Amino acid sequence: MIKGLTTIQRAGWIYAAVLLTAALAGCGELNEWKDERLGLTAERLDPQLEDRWGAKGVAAAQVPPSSDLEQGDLITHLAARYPVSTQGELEAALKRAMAPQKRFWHIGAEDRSDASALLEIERNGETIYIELAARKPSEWNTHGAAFSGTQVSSVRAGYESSQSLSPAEAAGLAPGDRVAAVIDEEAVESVKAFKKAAERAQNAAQIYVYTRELAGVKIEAIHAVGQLGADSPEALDRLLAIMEREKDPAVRRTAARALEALAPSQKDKRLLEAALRRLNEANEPDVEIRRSAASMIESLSKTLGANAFDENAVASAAEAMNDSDPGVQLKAGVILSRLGERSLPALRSALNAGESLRVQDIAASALGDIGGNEARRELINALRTAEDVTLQLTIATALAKVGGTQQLRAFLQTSPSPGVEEFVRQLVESPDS
Amino acid sequence: MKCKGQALKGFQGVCALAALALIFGCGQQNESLTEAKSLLKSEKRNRIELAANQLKQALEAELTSRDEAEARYLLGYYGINLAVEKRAELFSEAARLEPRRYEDSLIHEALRDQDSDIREAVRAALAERYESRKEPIRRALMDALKGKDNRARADAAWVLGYLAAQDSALKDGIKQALTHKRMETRLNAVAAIEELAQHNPEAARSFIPELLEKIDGKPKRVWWKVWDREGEREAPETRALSVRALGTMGAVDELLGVLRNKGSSLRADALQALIAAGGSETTIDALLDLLQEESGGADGWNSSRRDGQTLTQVR
Repeated sequence: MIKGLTTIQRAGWIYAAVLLTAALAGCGELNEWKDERLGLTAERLDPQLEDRWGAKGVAAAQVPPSSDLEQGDLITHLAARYPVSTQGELEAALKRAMAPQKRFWHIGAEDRSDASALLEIERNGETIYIELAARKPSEWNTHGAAFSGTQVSSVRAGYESSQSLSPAEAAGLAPGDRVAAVIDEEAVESVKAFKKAAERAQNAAQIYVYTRELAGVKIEAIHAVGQLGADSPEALDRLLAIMEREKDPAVRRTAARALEALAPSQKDKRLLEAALRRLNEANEPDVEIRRSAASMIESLSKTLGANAFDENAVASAAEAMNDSDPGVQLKAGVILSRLGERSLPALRSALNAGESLRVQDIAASALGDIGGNEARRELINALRTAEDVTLQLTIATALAKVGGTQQLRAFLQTSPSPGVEEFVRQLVESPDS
Repeated sequence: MKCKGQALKGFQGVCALAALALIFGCGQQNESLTEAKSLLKSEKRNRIELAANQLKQALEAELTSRDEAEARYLLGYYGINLAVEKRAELFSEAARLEPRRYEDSLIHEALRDQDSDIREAVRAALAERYESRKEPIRRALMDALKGKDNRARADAAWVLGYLAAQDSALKDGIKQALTHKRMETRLNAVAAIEELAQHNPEAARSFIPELLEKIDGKPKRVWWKVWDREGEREAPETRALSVRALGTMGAVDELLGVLRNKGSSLRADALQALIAAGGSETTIDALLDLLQEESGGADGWNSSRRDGQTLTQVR
């Protein structure tokens, strides 16, 4: 094709190709951009970060010396604060914040996903923050609030044609609220978006960034603290704080498992007290955390000894025998058996009036582990009244463990079921009994 | 003319005798060795144990060098009740007797076995042989590392890392392989460094700059990525393995560097590697710093509206 062209035509084609390449290169992603006014350089994220973690944002390559931002921080949003003192300023700031994003290829379409404004409101002498968001752009083109100066004069509930409330009504804006500032938050998923947002925010009084830690990294870090922090009191404090206060269930569970790893190295009762609080179903709805708490207590019963457990601790473990989760019930039984004779009242009550056969079964095993005359007496009484075959077998095993062979022989005279009879006979005749 | 004819006849007779001797010589392999080989080919239930016994018997007799090498190699391979050290000794001796044949067999056959005892024995035997046969073994392993066979690459890396703990000259070969055009070769070169780190962490630390280059090196410009200006980075698995290798050699400061770069995709790998490297006060401090609670927001601004995010003023 090129052969048939004149020199001028060829030169034209080459020129066009160069222009196209330059245009393509120019439209592509930016790898890095520095905002001189902020003294902040945003760098493109490692693309593999997005593939592996689904992370969006930019990395802070260079940070302003006066800010708390750290090099390497992952920035997800840029927020610009515009204080307002007149109605004109307020409406201009609102318009700027709630304006739909438009991209050059969106012919006739608007992207309102980022069209929101955070209002700094003074209400009854307090400062509160209310977000106005155009949640249903097809139904709402305005926020639905009217102003007098910077004060909200009225809030429109909705329109007859619309199913939804106005953004102002939905957000809880009320007449009489005074708007002190409008905050425009923008997601910065790329360096280009960061550049655009920073340029848009040049007239803002203050500029902030949101940074985040990836949940996956946080989980790994918590796991690492559990593995490495045995000698660090700060590690215990931090993990306890995460277990107590974190909102993400996966992060809390990881903290609880990390505390399990720290339990064998603990020398004081801080972890024990925290674990006892989390053992109770009323305090802790998450079953995995209750299980971890039970494991921690079991481990601490070995390292701290039974004397570290006061009456309340025994009561908490006894209560956990009635947990809805079999794993917690089982661990509670083990804990009670470790606490020895102080657990006898709780185990007696569980054996005789347990909420389920499983609870009775666990109590019988725990009594067998504790041993002694009183435990034997309880087991003998229970064997006389037990009707369930499985429970009979557990009680018989526990009795054999605590030296109740004579009582088991007497039990054989009461004509138990053939299976139980055979099992008890073997127990009685075994060399250990 | 008659004389010439007689000489020819004499020559023919010698040739015939030589041929017969050769044929009989080849056929008369030690009975136990022959029996062991036929057992190994059979379907008998205890064929391996029986063959091993036959091989032991064969080694008690006088054998040709070739038969002895074969018997030793086979016993090293099938002597399942022997200690790894003994099997290594058998392999090594086989390779000493017949280097051309058994060095190759060790690298390309026995090393591929799935039995970890065999693999350990082969590696120990190669290490022993490496003392006197550096160049051929190095060449064979490097060829395997750069070759097309994935299993051979991984096996070669495993042995090279082990041998490099004794001979620093091997490190140059590994270093070259780190920039090989084939990604799998680069990956296995990093695997060799990790293996080296397990045996000689101090020697492996000389690779830290190369590993950091793999982890955080600037992407290379390539024409097919002009549009997004990203260029081509090292493959994710090679980068992740580089981080793991840092952990194995205990390069804690470098791992903390990876951890602090929140734009990196390798922070979770760095955390796992830090666990492998073991704890230190610095590591714990860095981890606690990472887990510090989010600030309550700036100027009373409620950052909880963006869960798990921290608000920081920059102007």
